Amino acid sequence: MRTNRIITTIALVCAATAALGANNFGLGGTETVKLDLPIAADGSVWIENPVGNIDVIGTDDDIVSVIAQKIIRGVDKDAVTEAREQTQILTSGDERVRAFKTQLPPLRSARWSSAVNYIIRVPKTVLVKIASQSADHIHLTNLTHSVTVKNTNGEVTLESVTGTAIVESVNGNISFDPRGRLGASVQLTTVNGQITVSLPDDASFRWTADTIAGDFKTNFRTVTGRMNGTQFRGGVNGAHGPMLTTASMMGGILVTRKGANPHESKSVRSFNTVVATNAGPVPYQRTIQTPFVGGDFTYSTTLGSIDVGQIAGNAMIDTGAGEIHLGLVKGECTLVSYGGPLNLGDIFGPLNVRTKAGDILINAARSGGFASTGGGLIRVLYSGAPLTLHSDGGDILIRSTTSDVTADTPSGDITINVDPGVRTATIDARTSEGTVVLNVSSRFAADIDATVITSDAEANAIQVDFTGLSFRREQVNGRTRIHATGKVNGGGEHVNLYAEEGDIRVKSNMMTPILSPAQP
Amino acid sequence: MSDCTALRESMPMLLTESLDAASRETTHLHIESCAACSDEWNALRETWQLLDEVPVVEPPPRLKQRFLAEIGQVETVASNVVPFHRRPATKWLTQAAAVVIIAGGSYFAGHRNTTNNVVPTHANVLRGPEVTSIQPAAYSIAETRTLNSKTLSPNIEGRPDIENVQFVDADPTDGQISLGFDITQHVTVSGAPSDKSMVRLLSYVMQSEDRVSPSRARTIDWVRDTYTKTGNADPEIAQALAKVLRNEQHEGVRIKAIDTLNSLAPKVAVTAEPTRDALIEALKSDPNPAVRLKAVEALARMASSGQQLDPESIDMLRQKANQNDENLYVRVKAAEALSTLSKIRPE
Repeated sequence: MRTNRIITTIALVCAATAALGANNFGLGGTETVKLDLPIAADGSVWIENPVGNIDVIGTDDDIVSVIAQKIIRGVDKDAVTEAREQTQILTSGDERVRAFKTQLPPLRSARWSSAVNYIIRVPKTVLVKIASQSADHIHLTNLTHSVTVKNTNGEVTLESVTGTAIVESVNGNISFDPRGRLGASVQLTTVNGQITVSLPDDASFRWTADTIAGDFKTNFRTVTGRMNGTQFRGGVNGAHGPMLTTASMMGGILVTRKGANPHESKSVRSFNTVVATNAGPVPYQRTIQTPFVGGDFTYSTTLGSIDVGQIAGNAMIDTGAGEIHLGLVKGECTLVSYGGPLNLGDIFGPLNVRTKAGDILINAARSGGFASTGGGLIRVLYSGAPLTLHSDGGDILIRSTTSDVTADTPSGDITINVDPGVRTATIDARTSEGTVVLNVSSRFAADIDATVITSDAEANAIQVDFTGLSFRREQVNGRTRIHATGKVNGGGEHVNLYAEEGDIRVKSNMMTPILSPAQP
Repeated sequence: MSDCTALRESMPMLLTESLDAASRETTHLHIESCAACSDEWNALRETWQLLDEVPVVEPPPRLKQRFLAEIGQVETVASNVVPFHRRPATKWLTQAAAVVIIAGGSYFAGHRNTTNNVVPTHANVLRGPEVTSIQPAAYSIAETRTLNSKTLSPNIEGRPDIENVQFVDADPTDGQISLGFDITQHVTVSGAPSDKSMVRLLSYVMQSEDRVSPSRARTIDWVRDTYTKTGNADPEIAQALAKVLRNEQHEGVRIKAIDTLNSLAPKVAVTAEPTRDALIEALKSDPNPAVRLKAVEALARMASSGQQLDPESIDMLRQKANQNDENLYVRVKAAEALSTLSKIRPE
């Protein structure tokens, strides 16, 4: 194959054709570059433009016609000059493949900025590939071959595109109108944007859609298929024809009939012909905010944050993902989150809270209970009854307790402050990578059993501010095991402490008790 | 009922996506129409998901050996190999005596020839009336040396075993820190946190495996307190944290490593490419959703800190936001992180 690879810095070549300010930018200006290049009817055009708009228009000609407008802004003349030199429009390829690229330095000076807007006319039968980061719009029209667009920001519009189309956006809305029936498979995905597809009344196609915080709506009359969780799989006007794949994680998806009122569109969930499996209500992401709930509060959502000031009864909340913040709960508090932090104020009833990922912060667990996280910090300011805490990874801190505590974490420090007024309490704290610190009053009585496993053969890893313990040090599987047992202040409840690769400290010099939150 | 039996047998294959399209469709349709099979399918799927969360544990060597022996797969020992016998107790006694003689000799020689630098704070601790620990205070029979980090080469030769690591910031206002450790003697290195020798030493302490005390988590805490202050941030510290993130087995330590990376000045983290790669890897494959969540936050911060968007980070976040089997909260956070990028318009 005859390769006629051209690598040209068009800005330099076509400087003479600059429309404005080629010789004096001042604090900014534009340069326009025009170029015509031959291309095969079944060739490819690739465009890579980090910043700037792109318009691609299909024609019946056999050339690629490019108009590139370079927009420069700078704080001073030197900055503008630097911007002009470092923003380069390159072209390469031959009649089979034509590539246009805006080249910017990987780390740019903050003293200037630049963008390039492309208007490219191509034979309508060529394949088009576009990569962009930031633009107001990317617009493709009148193309019959495959189209691929990948961008971060900016609206993507495809009009009269009848070949296979793949659009992947991060924050951009996607609009697709083939001006006729769907001619080939189309795949439109965006993370935070909306997707709109417009098709003729009699179009027949298979449709798959996915969204976690939006809905799939259509005003087509015949929709069949099934909803499974957040996904829809089915067909419009019969389950045959090309496949339309639409996925917007946080936005909505709308497939409309041309000529019909788009406001008549309804969720595919509402069609009798759509079978729902594990599909609840539309999981719009939102925050439930209520200052006061007079009785019990029960709420379940697959996605959403909950913020309630005060609950007079019991709280039962279940969220698939989201933050939970409760100010005061008079009754029992049962929370399940499959991801997200739990921030709890004053809880009078027993706790039973768990999250799969995220920190747990509790002001007061007056009736104790259970709290668990799949990973994250657990911090309790006050506990008035037996409390069990578990983290799959993270520190555990109890600022003040008047009762028993069980705390374990595979990695993280555990700090427990026992209220100075407490004479004895059962404490069980275990960490496989971290330190255990137990602060008690000098009158605290207990049967202590503390174990440290460490790689440091000379470590003095157990420090106890009490007399009466006996220490034993031995080698176990190449590591040192230090074991301290004994009664302090005549003995009392069991205090079992275990730490690997850390220390255990039992301190009795806590002089300033931390006050528990006042009763309202 | 026979349909049910046959279709239930194909459920494991459906779960592992090994069924052909037709069978898959048939099985799905049946599941939707049969309550018993639907229950069975849901239970199977939940179990499968739970299995994903079970950590892979290497069996203890003795158990493995016993198992292999039972199934007759024990490696045969060549006849010319001498079996390894337990050392007799007398050998230990001889070694202990030798250690006592050498240590005693070193102590005597050391005291005759050098002046010990005793850190005053240690003395205070020992004299304090409140301390009633029955553990004796630590002391070393070897000499103690205090070195200025500026006088040291930043290159650490080999992989020395350093033990009993202590961090001291006696005066937080003087901009000096000290790192004490035992090597062949007790050494205290003092200097500014930004001194290359100090940075290298701390990086080494964070990355050393299993031979460093106190725990790595505490080292990271200390690094966070020291190196997140303005002017102290250093790319090498970020790289060391990235290595911890890659290699550490404990979730809590990995979370601390990401938190510390996140706290470091974003520009430091950006310039350290391994840091970004470690975060991407953590987001991609860390088994703990909390670690992945922290990685999302750190990546979002890194991605939005530079003038130019970082395509690899964005791609990873986009992938996570779209990944159906990812924790929903991680997906939402990845999407939220990406949405902040729409506010960054370099032009």
